[in-house]
Amino acid sequence: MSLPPGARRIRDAFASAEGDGRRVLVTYLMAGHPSEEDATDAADAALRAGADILEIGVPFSDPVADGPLIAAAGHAAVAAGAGMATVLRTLRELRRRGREHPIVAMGYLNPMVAHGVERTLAELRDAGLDGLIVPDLPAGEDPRLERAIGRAGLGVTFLVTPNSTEERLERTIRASTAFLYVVPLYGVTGVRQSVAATTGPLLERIRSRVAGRVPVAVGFGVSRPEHVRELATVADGIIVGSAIVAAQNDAGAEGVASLVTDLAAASTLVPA
Amino acid sequence: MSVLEPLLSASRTRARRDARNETLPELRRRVERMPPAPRFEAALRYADRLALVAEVKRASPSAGSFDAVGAGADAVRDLALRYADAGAAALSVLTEPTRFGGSDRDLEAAAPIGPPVLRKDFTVTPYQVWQARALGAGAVLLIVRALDDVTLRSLLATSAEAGVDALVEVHTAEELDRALACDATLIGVNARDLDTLDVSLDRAFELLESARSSGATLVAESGLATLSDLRAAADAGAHAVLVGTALLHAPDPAARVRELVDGAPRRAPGPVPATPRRSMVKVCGLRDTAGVRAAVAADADLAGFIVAPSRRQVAPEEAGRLAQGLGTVQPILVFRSPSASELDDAIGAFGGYRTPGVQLAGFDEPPPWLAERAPALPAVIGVVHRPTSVRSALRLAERWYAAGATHLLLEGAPATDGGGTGSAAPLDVARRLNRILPAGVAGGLDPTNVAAAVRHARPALVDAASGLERAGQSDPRRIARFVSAARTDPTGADRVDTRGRYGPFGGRYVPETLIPPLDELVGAWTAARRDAGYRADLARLQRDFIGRPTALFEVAPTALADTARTDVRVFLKREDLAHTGAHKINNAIGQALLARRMGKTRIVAETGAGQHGVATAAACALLGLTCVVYMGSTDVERQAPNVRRMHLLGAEVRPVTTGHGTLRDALNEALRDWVANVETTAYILGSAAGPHPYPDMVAELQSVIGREARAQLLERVGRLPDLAVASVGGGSNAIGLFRPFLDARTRLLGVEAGGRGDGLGDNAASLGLGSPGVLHGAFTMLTQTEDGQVVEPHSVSAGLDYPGVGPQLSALTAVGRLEVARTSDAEAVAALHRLTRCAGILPALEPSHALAAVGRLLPSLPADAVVVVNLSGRGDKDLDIVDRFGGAA
Repeated sequence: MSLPPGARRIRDAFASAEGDGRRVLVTYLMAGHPSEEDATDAADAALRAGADILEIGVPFSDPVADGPLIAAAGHAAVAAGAGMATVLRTLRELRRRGREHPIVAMGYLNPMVAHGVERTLAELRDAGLDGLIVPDLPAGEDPRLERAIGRAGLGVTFLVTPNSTEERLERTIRASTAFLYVVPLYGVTGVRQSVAATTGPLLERIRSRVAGRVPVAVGFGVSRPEHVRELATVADGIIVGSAIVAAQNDAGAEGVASLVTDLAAASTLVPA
Repeated sequence: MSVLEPLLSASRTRARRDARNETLPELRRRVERMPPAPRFEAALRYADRLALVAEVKRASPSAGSFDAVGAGADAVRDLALRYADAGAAALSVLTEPTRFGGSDRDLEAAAPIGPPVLRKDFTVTPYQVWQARALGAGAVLLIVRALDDVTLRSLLATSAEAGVDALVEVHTAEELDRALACDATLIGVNARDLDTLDVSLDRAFELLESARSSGATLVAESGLATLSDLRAAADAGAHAVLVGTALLHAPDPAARVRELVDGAPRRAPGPVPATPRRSMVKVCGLRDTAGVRAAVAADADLAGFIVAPSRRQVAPEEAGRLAQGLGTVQPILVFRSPSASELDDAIGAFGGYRTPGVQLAGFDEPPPWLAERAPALPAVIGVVHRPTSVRSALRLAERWYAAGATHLLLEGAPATDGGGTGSAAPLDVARRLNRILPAGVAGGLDPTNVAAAVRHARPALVDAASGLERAGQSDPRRIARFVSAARTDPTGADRVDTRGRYGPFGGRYVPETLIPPLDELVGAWTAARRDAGYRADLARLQRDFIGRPTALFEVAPTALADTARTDVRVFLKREDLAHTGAHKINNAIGQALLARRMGKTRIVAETGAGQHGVATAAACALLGLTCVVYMGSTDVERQAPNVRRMHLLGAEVRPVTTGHGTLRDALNEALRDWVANVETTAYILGSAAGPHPYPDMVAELQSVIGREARAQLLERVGRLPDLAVASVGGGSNAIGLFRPFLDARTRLLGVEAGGRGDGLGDNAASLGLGSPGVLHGAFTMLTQTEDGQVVEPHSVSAGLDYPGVGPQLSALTAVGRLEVARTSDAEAVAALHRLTRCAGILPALEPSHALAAVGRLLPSLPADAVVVVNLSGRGDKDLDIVDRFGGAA
């Protein structure tokens, strides 16, 4: 199977981290929040502080999969007029500044449908995007759309959850060209005190099913270096979202850089 | 080497590549959900002058590139738009990329403009025919020189199947013979030799002349530039000319179109009736009261009484007596080769109660005496027996219509046959004929095969007699099932498919966590609705807890508006009398019973006006379930009485402050709660919206409204209503009323909140003013910005201000089954006051929108119209708002 170029770049990042004895650190930021410039600076800072992949949120009015922090960031961005165009400009600016890391967009379906799916995908790719996470698109729901993403040269990541059946798990693994996103809990994005106790067994089950076909990253509720350290033993990548947005809310790009530095350090595997 | 060969091989390669992105079965599935393709051949054949097909292309091997068409699909759209405005009867768009600079996007851009579009390309595989249809084309091009007979026939068959016309292009007499032998009806005579690129108009005119007697629709192509060329083409028998290069070389191409159209020779095509949006249904062979009652209850269009010798023969006097019970169903006397006096005598004997229509079987062609009688008859059905080819059927059909027929029926049985022999309906001929003019089918149709026949042939009329009987008697159940099945929407707008969609609308666009619980819900709901225990529990609670059936109450038209129309009868379906004061309880009880069956102990729900919250809280109190209701903080304030009721019923009300603090935010929050607690919790969604199976489940639970109304009206006025009206927010009361009328002739009107105007954010009119998008798990119509941000709607009524709408209502609107209107805040408040004062009923603000719309429509309704309005809830909850509104006004 030939992978879309964007998916290839994302997988290369996983391979190269592994070569360095690290897990991939994916950090999330909302485009246009609190302003386009600030979001761009924060994303830039995250990448320079050691994030391997940037996940950029596309502002949307009805983010059903997101918890209070990211939902509020999205609502504020929408209220300030941000949208798909903001994401495109942010991507171009990050590329202009020389950030060559893989970037994936986390965006709900509706803004893409409104712009025209094929057109949006082409514009995102041309602006420098590598992959896409669409939280309200479960694998298999819209095969044409899945193919359109691949045809545009972008990788795609689907989510699996603790209640995914073996059949859905298999379908999701097959459909994910970039990496598999494991949500180890029931619920929305957000900061949590600890990693759910069920995460380890869940990841074991998923990894045995994946059998190396696609990198496995875990997100939702991951906020502290100790979470990252714990998950580094069971996942190929760790995704941190709300905690980064919280750090940005508290101390802007510097806050983001400082948290990412700590998280990146925690994502390095300690030799046994 | 010929010019053609490399183009054909490039075309084959393209088709193979495209089929990797979307497979043929996927493409076909998509096409089958689309509304019918624009009629290309009919537009040319029945134009009032020589029709001009204006062609858009960027280049051609003979003329090089054209500066008149810029790069990008927008340039094509602009030019096509100007051609259409200038009077082009149809368009032709080159999609061939290698030598003509075309693209499929160009066709997509031109298709929605209006005139039917020919996909001008080198069609060599069935895939490309389906693709043309998917892109919006009305016709494909089949070049005889490029195709052997087997392929040509197969591509013609595929075109028929895909529902597009096929322009079969010939250049020589041999090619013309081959095209005619394949029963092509639309033939293009190309003056250009595709091997040498030489053009000879004289040869083309000779060929047209020789094709004339075939009865085919003829198009002259290539080399035509002047009005005298057009006149010569018309003289040679052409119905249309296709002009491309001559336009693009003109200084102003659109102006040149205008000159050619204005100067084109006039023609006088015979009369051809409009094609109905869906098949009309004739129930034939009636001979007793039970059959007549069944035809009325099923709301057939036409009811046939066979006066010709037959096993089902009835005397015209008896037919006249029976027909008095038909209401608005048109009676038809069915004859077999009658003389003029036999016809006159039978119509006389039928009686003066009303004039019957007639069906004339057994003729080879229309009888000469028909023309003078037809104008006085309400319907004349001409029968074409056992058509042997599409072209011969077309010729006969046009003769029948010229003689005054209003309908045409293609019969499987020969003219000599007494009918009822079970000869299969000629569906393949009908399918192609119906692309050109309206034609019905008869022969071997019954309740089990009629939906497939309609999907296959899209006939203008379906007719059955023996298929509606059981042991030689009219069978009311078969009649009901036949009419209902015949009216099945071919695009799937009327029923959900296995993927949770109504045509393109619906689906399950939700986070992965919700897929397993939605699957579980689909399974539980499918089992429950078939389970006698669940159904008995539901029926008992509907009767004893809700108080069903709710009353159907007639009010004077003046209770809705100042009007002189005292003939119109307005009936209110009194859902305001349902327990807890609105229709919402119908759904809440059904879902709460289901949740208990599934072993769930906790319920979450969202509410806007509070009616669904109250209904759910009541159902949970009754069934011993924990209940959490999410309610926007804005709504908590404006619907305080309902919040207090929920508290009393033991529910926890969680105000939602995120977003705008209204219904959609409450829905988002309830979904989040469900995501986090799926194992113990059921989510009772209050509207026929959201991810599958909610739209279908809620609609089914609310359909009790329409089922009761249908039976009550039949009993009270002896027929089904002309118009059914409901307000539309998310749409549960509307689909609940409408669904049982989808297979009837009843007009359906959904009334949205027009708020304070048509601006974005000033109303909640997602069907009337919105655009398609994805919200709360479904692909449906939304009020949104161009950037895809969902806009907070506005309405004086908290129950209507939802930015989306149920996917089935979107689908029904898209196919034209549902009409949509808007009522402003002020009109709704006025309607509330008026009904309260004139009828002693205080309606909620939501149904007041529907009442106001009916008031506006009164002057335009037919005489003695029967209207049913869903009075979906009572207005006690709205007193504060109405008071405040009155003060502000």
